[in-house]
Amino acid sequence: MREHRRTVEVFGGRVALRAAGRQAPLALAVAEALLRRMHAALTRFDPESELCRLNADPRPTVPASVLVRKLAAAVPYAGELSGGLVDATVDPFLEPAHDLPEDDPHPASPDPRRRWASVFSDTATVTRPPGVALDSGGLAKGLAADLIADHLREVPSFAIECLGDVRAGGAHRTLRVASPWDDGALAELALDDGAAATSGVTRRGRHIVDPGTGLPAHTGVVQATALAPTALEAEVRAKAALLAGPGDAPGHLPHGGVLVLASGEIICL
Amino acid sequence: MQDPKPPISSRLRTVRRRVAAGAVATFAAAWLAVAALGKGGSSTAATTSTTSSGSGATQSQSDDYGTSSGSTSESDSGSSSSSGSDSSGASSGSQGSQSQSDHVTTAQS
Repeated sequence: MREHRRTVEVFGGRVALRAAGRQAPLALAVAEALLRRMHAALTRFDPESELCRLNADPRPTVPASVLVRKLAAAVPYAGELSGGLVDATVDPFLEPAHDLPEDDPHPASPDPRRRWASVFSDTATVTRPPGVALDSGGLAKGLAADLIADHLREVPSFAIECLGDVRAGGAHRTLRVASPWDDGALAELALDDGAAATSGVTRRGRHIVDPGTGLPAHTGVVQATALAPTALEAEVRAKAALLAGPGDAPGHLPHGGVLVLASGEIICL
Repeated sequence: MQDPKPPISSRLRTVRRRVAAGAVATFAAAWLAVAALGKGGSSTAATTSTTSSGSGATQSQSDDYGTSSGSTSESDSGSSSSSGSDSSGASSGSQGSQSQSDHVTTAQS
């Protein structure tokens, strides 16, 4: 069945949407509007965004829209799922760290303060200790892909490619895992109904923070791809695998995935 | 005896009214679905089961670059799109088309 396609530029990148069926054109138009609303609410780069206003709010409990509440709910979910390695309360390292000294690779460690566990959301508000900021980077991509997938569940088939995260359903597809070094494909996997995400440090430098040190992580894994039922879970698992290092990374990929080590070794799970 | 069938002009008028009402209802449903997400609604967007035509329209709001853009979707027989541009020169907006590719790609962002 032919699929309609729509491309939207949000979150600093490109989101490609595909859907089949008679309802696809309207469903994709609504999906685009949803993406733009998510972008406006969750961007870290606009001080007027709802997320930035929440982060600057001195109150411990703040009324929030459903989008920000979903992000807030994703923070403890990610922390729990990753054993604290994916900590969305850690200040992101925004500038690529190309000139850091090459220390020996070592697994990242969780922040013992477990600030991610102090974030809650209910049907109308977000609660967190004042000063604990939420970082939408990474989690927002997976969240967006899952929300759009939920919206497209009525069409016969759909696919969402959201800045490297993928969520698809209703059709047999081939998932290409991009190479960390060039534009080629590293591997091809089957993807029917599910999601995939890739985290890595070869494209943007060492921009992923070790929560235990607050410094860019250097674990010996340069790219991790995770398969999972949802894009949010895939996003968390991919980042956790990268942070865990070669020894523990496979344990973070229970649904399968691909690891690329600094030595060049490729491990398909 | 009066003809039970209304004249053709009357029937055409009825059809036009129904088409217009359907278009308005579809747009309203889509707009409400999107608006609910940003207004503290307790559920995600509704699906588009009310649609009866191959076209739609959306409202969108400014993005990081101060862009405000709207778009129209493609029809089954072709595609059309409109997009806005921002002051930084980066493109923004959307493209509509049809495809048959069964490949998807995951990559570092």
